[in-house]
Amino acid sequence: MGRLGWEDVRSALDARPAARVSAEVGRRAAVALVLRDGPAGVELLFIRRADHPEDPWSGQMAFPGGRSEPGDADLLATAVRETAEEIGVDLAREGEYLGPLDEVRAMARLRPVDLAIAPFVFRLRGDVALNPNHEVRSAHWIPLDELVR
Amino acid sequence: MTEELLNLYDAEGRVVGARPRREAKASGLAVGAVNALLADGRGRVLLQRRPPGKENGERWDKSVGGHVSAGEEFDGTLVREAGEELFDDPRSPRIHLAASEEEFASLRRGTDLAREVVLRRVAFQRNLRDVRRAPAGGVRNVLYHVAIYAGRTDVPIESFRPQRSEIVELAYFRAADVDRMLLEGRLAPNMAFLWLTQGHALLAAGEAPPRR
Repeated sequence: MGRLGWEDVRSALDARPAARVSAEVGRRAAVALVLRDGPAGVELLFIRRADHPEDPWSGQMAFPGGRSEPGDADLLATAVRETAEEIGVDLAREGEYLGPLDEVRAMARLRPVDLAIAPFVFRLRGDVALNPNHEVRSAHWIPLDELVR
Repeated sequence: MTEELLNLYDAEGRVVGARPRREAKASGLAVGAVNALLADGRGRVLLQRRPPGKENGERWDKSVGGHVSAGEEFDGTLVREAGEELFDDPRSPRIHLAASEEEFASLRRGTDLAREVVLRRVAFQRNLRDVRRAPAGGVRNVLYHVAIYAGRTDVPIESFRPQRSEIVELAYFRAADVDRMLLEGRLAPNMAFLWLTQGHALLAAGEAPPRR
């Protein structure tokens, strides 16, 4: 089978509207699924969070993102701001927004927590260097072909 | 070969019919699935490697997983699949599903974990979509309602009797190993999602009963 391309990403995103987590979950966060044209086709950016004793997701694999703040116009803005902070990439300038995915209820240390995570998908234009901050231990590009079977 | 009949559900989780597996997944309605992660006393997670040629062939997958057959309930599917996959016996007496946290805590104390497996349900997610390659090229969405289970066992690898048609190998892995397997593309996609969203929480759930 051929490599997955941008049309496949588009058709997966267009297949149906993104589901929202119930409004009873009060706190909101957003993450960015950053895609690029890489050596192995379309690739997705993962980060490993830095070790921090007060972070319930310390040291875990993740996507750039974080909690909504009062200055964010919406959750999409949260994802863009957090991505700029964590890996030094300005998605508003260097990326194209492709669409939302279903929200996920966060789990930490065993239970569902009062936090809904909204994922947003972006395509990076060209070859953009990453500049991870102290919250990020490492960054990894994984071919989409490895993640979809 | 006759295909297994699967339950079909509406968006709220009500059973609305049953269809052969492939047709059910292409129906646009949700099918039911069970996912379980088992941890040992050292905090390692039990994974199974899928046979080449099967769905997710050669990838490492969750401890136990499967589809809800026509007429089954999620918990019944979990017990059947755990028995079949780990001990080649759908009615294996070594599988214990607790109905509550209290029963799980008491089962953990009263069960010989070197021989047996104890689990309980920790989450239920509706309308998860699984993006898969379509047989004719491109991608398609399959909709799932998924019951998620966490549990404990210390059964040594050589004492399992994995179902050979479904499983090539079983092994316990540390969390750091599973992270590396994710980055190397060695996890089944569903396992990667389960690991990213709930994996560490599920390991913690296997390790110690929650305090209230």
